[in-house]
Amino acid sequence: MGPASASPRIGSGLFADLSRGQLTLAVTGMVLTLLMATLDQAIAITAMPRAIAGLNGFSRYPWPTTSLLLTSTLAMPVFAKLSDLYGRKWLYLSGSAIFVVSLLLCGAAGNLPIPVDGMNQLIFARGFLGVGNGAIVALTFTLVADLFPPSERGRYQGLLAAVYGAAFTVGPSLGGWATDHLSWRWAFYGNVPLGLIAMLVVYFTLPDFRPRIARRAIDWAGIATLCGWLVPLLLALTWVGQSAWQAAGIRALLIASAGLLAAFLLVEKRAVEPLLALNLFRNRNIALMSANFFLMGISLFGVAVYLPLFHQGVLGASAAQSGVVFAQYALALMAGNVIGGQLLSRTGRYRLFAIGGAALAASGLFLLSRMQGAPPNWNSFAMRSFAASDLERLPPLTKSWSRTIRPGNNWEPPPDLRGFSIRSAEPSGWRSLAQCC
Amino acid sequence: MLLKTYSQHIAGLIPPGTPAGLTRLFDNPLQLFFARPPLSSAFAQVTNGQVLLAHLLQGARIGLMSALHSIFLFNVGIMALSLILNLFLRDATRHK
Repeated sequence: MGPASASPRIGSGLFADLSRGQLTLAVTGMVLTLLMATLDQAIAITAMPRAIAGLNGFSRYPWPTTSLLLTSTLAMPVFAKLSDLYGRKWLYLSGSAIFVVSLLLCGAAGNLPIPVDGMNQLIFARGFLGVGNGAIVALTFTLVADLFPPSERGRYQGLLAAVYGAAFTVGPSLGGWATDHLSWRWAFYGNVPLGLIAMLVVYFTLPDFRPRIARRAIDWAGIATLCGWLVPLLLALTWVGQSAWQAAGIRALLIASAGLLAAFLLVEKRAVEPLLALNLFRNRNIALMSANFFLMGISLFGVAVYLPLFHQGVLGASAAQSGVVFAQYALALMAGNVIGGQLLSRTGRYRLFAIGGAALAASGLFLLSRMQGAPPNWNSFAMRSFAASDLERLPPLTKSWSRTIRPGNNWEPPPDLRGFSIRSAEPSGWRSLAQCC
Repeated sequence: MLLKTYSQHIAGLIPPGTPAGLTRLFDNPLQLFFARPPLSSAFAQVTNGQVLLAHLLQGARIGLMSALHSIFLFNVGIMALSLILNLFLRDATRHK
């Protein structure tokens, strides 16, 4: 049996050439690949406190997650556009291969023969893994748009969204179990077989094709200045814990970051296909929602990264126990998402749910900030309250976003972003950017 | 925020004159809780070492909790800001 192939053509017409069986197999490969990527993030939630303890990296606690988010955010548009040039399949397989190799590097952090300490090895490995993650996430959703007609895309996008839900429900407990019974290293190694199987299925079932679009411009200057803005800022925020804001090194980093932010904005204003479409901000709702997604990203990061640390470090829970608690949080997220979406569909009141959701989220976070060293019953109530409330306003904001920027209403996505829809990518981009900070 | 709050808390608990080698053990609370270095023998070398060790261990846990509380509280402010921004949203019209 050889690899599946198809003649190069415009992706949106591909579904007409494939049988239902071929499509099912191709989707199976994509689901397995996405499952590997999302499971890793879910597993890392509970494994990371032990990994960071083992690598003596408390002072750099958020960096493994930050480096993954930073590289993932930057890799998404790059891989989406490279796949337009060179075809989806091999870029997709390359992203998966990068991911699998990075899992091995994460598991081996601290034992790698490179001249940096174990924690920095983990940070670099997570950053490398972010490149694979960005490729997988961007191309999976692009492939759905290529393989299916618009009328069927919703069903398959729902299937992919369910993969996220399943991974974040099961993953933290799996990561906790592996950490407690084997080692935090196996929380990463354990995902490798799934990755290899996914790559084999994709290799044999996904057709090799590319869209027929003449010109592609990758915003390299935007990527460079975005990195140049964020990395010094993150270094300053990390090192200020060990020195002071007035320290010369911190000041230099902040000045460099501010200068590169200005450069980034200038570059984006002139770019043919910018990473960040600044003209979006002419619309008041878009500007407000961008700020909201940014703020939500910060709060979601705060819970996802620091709640397991609270359970394991302060309450003395095992990694598996903190995984079970996080699973409740993930279930509440999904429930909030569904309830929020339903309420929105019935009432059409975006603003009301966005305001109510933010109020509930603030209340839930306040309850989290009052948790004490012994776990009273309202701990989980606080978490569920936060989770349900915060995500309850996600569907309203996302749907409001996509409706506000519909064609003819102030802004249209560039034509070449047909597959990698910036309409849905922008909100997640804002959340990722916030989580990097 | 995590490191600064924790470090400030633990610095206030360490009595003057405690050997630097012992205080350094408390720089990384995660290692303290998970890896459990041989603290008892190290603290046996100083006067009232075991009492000081128990005090510092409890302090490290409280310091970590305070640091995490600060992070959650910071996020309350973030969500409050988000709520204020939402007040300026306009309901987008539904289209068929």
